[in-house]
Amino acid sequence: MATQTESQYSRYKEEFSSFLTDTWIGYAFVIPATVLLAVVIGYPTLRGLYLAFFEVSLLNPEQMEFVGLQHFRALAADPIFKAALWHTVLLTALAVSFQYLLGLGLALALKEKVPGAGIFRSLSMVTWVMPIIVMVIIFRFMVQNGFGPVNIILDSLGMRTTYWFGEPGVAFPLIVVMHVWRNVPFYAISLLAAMNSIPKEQYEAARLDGAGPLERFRYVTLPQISYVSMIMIVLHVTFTFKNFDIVYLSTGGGPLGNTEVLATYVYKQAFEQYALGYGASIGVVMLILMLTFTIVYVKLEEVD
Amino acid sequence: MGELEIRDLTKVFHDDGGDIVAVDDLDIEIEDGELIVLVGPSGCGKSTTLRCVAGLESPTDGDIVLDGTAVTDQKPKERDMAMVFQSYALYPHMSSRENMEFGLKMATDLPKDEIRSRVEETAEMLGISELLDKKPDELSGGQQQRVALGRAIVREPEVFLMDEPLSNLDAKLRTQMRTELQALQQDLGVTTLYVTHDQTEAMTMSDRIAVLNDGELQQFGTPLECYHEPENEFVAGFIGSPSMNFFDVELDTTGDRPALVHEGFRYDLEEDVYADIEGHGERFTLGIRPEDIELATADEPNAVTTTVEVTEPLGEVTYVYLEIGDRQYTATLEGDLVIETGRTLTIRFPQDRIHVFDGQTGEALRNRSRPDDEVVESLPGFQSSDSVEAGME
Repeated sequence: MATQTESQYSRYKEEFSSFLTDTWIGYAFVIPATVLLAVVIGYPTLRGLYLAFFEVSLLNPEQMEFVGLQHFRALAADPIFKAALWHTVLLTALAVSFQYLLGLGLALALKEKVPGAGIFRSLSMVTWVMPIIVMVIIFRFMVQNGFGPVNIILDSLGMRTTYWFGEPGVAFPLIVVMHVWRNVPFYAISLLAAMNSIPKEQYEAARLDGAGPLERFRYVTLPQISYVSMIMIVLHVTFTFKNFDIVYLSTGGGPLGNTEVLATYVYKQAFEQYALGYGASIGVVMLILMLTFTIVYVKLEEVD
Repeated sequence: MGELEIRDLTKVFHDDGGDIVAVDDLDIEIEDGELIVLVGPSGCGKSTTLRCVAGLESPTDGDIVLDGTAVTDQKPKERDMAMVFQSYALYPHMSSRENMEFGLKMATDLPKDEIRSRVEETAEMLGISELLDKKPDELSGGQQQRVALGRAIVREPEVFLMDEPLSNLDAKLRTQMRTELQALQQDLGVTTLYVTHDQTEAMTMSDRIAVLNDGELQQFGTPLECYHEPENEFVAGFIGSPSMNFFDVELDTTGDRPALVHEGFRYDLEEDVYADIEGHGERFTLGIRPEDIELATADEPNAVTTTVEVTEPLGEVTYVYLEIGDRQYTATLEGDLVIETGRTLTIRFPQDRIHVFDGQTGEALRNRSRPDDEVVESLPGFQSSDSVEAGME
């Protein structure tokens, strides 16, 4: 009995020491990144969650008062918050749909051996590589009143000219256009890469099987780019949903709150109105919605 | 019916460097139910020919005729042909069943249950019923091959086109599938055009072989015709393994008897051989298959003394690599002979086994005598046979 216990014990010891020796170097590599993430992401997230239940002012953050779910009740009645939420959802839906459809079209066009496609492929990435502030300045210049190219053209056609980012019905579509303009090439390149990995024999087999061009796209291309499509869409849904800089730099949420999105509203509440707790509660709502996307994404990934 | 005719087929590819003639004026007539193998080295135009027949390439010139109707301008799906690809080209996102159903769904308006039952029948015939709900990446190479075959068979086409369907399989499976494929083709009786670079597949599977080189048809005949009576040096060298030995020789008529002179030996010719080559200049290529080389004593006429460079004992036979002149030649000798490297060996080329080709054109002037049909048919166990080839395949 004693020997058995001893041998069992030594087996555990062996297992444990091999576990240690085999894995310690792995942990050693992972620990710095984990610590960094915990400090940079984990702490602020938890702190934000915590703050959402308190009344805190940025002017005097030491003084906190627990208010429970009061901020969330206020949110439910806040018309600006509701407008911002609606703008965010609309912006995300429109931008991602147009990005995907145009990107898919561009990928299909680039897949054909059009002369100059190679050069275009490289050049088209410029929009994606360009810093957002540069892009926004270019767009602002384009729609500048008086000397912006857009207005010069409109003027020559005898149409109304104005600073279009300041025009209520136009500012929001312009923001959608900026999102689309920036990301279409990235969609196109990713989808093109997925398409190019489909062996041409499959298309030949489909032709012999009697499938026309649309059917080949529907039954051969589309199912095989669906995985990349899904990743692109989910990633860009999250990117667009939480996007701050494009909106803030171009319109700052205006005119008259016409382009206010959740990210800009959080910023304004926390850093312009000094309502840290209220801002944090909006952040929590965003976090919950983003988590939902993530869960959908993970589920979709499991299905495939 | 599936009578397929390839008429004056020419395919030229335009490249930056100029025009590449992939297929040059090819003429092949295939009878209903025949299995024809297009064989040749890489780049000989065999795959291009198949793709022109399939409609995946449009010919520069010439016609593809199926049962008397030119299909050259028809789209692939209108041609009633099914193709098996080297890479199988299964749709990875569809199960085996969906792969097999796809063609029927696209090209026919059969009801769903009819499609289903046809797929299941075919799957049963191929022994893949239990694989129907698996996707290609869950299948082994051999199983994928069967599904690809099933996809072609289920459409019940007039013609099967197969583009090196066995080359992605390992050697053992390839041999097994070769036999299965042949049996299947005979059962179904569907005209089949089969492309391969492997002369063993060509020999063992085909009713007739079309040997191609540089886009031109070299010979179109039964496997044994190509083996025994090659029309030129290329076919002689391509069909048969190990390859035929070729010696560059000159005709010498100054002695008592006409002879072919090589730097390593002098080969006196008999009357009938000389009659075949007379008047075709002075330069010839003498060909002898490794398996036709015999051991001899030094005093025999036309004996050649050589040095053994390498031996490869395979058990049943031994390949002996010999140096004659400055080049290496192969002889296939009995397996139980132990021949050490470096020793001298005297061999002879039996006169009824040699081939002689024109030194310039490569055209065969004299081929070895074919095995006498009467002699073969009088062998015990051979009485009821129809032909020599059927028995030897």
